[in-house]
Amino acid sequence: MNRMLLVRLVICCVPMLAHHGTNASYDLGKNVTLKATVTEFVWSNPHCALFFDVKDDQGNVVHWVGETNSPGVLLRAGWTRKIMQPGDQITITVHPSRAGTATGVVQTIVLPDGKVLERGAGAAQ
Amino acid sequence: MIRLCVIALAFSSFALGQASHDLSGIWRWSKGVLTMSNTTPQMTPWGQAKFDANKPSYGPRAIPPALGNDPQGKCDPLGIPRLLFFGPTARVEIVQTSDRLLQFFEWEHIWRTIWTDGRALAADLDPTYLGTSAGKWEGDTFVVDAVGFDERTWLDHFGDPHSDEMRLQERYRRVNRDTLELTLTLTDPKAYTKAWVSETKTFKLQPKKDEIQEIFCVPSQEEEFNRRVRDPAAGKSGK
Repeated sequence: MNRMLLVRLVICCVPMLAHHGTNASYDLGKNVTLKATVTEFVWSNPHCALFFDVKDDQGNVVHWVGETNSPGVLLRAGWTRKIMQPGDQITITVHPSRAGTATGVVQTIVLPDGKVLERGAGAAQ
Repeated sequence: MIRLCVIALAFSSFALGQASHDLSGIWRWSKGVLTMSNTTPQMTPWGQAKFDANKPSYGPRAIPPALGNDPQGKCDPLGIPRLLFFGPTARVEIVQTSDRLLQFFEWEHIWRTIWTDGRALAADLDPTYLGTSAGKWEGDTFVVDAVGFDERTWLDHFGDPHSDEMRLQERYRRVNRDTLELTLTLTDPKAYTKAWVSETKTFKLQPKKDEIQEIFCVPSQEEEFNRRVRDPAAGKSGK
């Protein structure tokens, strides 16, 4: 992952509320912010998923996936089913996978129009 | 002046424990650990074996969902009391009628019936995921006794067990207009060597516009999510 284009790497120590398995699968002490292109936004229950491409520092495209909350929680946070379309250029911040794969749990997304999406409330760690 | 008196009377009715026996509204978890308490009673050998076999994805024993066996990972029913311990993500709406109190759980989008028609709980109930519940008012406290639970559910997110012998008593008290407190006592001699008394849980009243959302756990969608997201997140191939 260190070869990928990391716009910003922030280490934080504030424990957060998360949903099923988040703390086990993802490093909640790290934020990774990426410039990305949306390839697919899956609106499904009880978790939505965002697929996106990121160019690494060699110019290679890396296929990422971001875990998000349920539609009900996202609706409360201002998301909608069609809020992102394939091809949209976004800036996305995730807690990365502990396994080092191109996966993460989504924290914030800056949309092409500048609107910021938050992840919504979480549950137990 | 009259308005002030009305407001004062409304607040004093709660303060004096003379609230109108009304728990209705949309409630959101506000405070408390997401289990009975942090002090687990000693388990029986049966309970300990169940606990050891449960592989949760929350808490100190958490492993990635792709490697665990939490019923939630397959959208199996969570049951009671786990739905009560779900936390701030999902709401619970309480609706009261003349002979029952209904809890609508946003997570799983299901309801639980708590009978208030004076019925006694039968001794030989077939176990169900939500159990069978009867409630009554004792002063300002709504007391629910529940039995007949299916032991395939976990007690909480952390893999604590219960058996089909579990008896649960919940005590709900609306301490003011916006605050609902809950304490529970669990008795399960098959799983624990003594009763487990919870700490106090707190729920806060939500505005009416914060309506219950449709948060189903859809098995086919969760399976797809596991394959495309959770497995890769855990380092397993997600084909």
